[in-house]
Amino acid sequence: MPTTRGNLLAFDYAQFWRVTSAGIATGQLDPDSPGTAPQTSHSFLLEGPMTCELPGATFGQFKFRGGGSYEGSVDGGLEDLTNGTLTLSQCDASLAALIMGTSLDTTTITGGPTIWSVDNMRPSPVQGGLMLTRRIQSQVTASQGIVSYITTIFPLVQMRMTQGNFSQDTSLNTSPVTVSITPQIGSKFPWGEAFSSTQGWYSNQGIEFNIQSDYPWALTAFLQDGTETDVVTAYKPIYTTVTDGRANSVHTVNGVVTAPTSITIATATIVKAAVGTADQWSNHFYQTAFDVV
Amino acid sequence: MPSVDINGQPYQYPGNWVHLDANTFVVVPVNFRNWALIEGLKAQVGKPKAKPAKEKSDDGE
Repeated sequence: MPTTRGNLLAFDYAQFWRVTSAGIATGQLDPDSPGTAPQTSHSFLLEGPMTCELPGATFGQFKFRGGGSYEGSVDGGLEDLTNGTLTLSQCDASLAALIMGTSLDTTTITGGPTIWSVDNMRPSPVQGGLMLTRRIQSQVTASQGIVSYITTIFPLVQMRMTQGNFSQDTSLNTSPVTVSITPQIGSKFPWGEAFSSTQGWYSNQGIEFNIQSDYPWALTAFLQDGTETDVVTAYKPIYTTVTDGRANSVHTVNGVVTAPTSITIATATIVKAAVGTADQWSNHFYQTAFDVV
Repeated sequence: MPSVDINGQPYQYPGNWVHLDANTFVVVPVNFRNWALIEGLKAQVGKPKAKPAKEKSDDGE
């Protein structure tokens, strides 16, 4: 079992996915124009050298003073929420297109070149979910020293990319790419299920939350066509238990947790219990070691 | 997995998989919108391949 307390280390993965206006993940596809079903899309995986300064919350304070003396103070709640910054050593055209909702243009010039932009003129980047995974070494009796994973999820963010500077310096990560993270208040998990009294978060809303688990998580979105029951995930899932649709992985159809019929590790195939309604999304949030079939 | 996406570009695995039929899919880039291209490919999938022209034998048959 993963630890409840420990030392943080090793920022391993960042993942981003787009969401519909109903808070349902669509992977890397445009929720407003996903195309013809069936389609399978996955969270966009970032790995390699990167750092992330998390968005910060600041809180107001009511202070009471009278006659030149301090009488007391009360926390006034969330006052502001600052942007976070993801710093990458890699320039990524697909990420730029994904977070701004633009296209990778390979038709204006054919034969191989790709035209893309960070599209600063766009007034509002697309909304999506952001998941950051790092490791945690237990400092709890009985699991002392065991390393598991802690995943921090921002259910709704917008991100903008700033290209790396041009430089002739020879130094570490000379031209890093920075991605600003504007967090928003969300009310749903990545698989589309709403926050509830089960978590006890204020007003069933949240800016971020964490999952501690034995393995990292990945997300697959499937646009149903009313015929196909099999969904192939990007990576081999770790667990095959399908009980209630939420046993060490979560499976939803149109945001409602629905147990699949089976999960097969070797082929990374989830067989859904029903074909479902055409053009509705099913989401599959699963633990993986990122092994590819 | 295909080595390039529908535009002939290298892509970061896993990309997006658009199913042409139960056994065939293509990888499309992020925010792909050229769905007419996909429909054209779907129409081609499953079509019997054209038979190669039979060579004439020496006796003219």
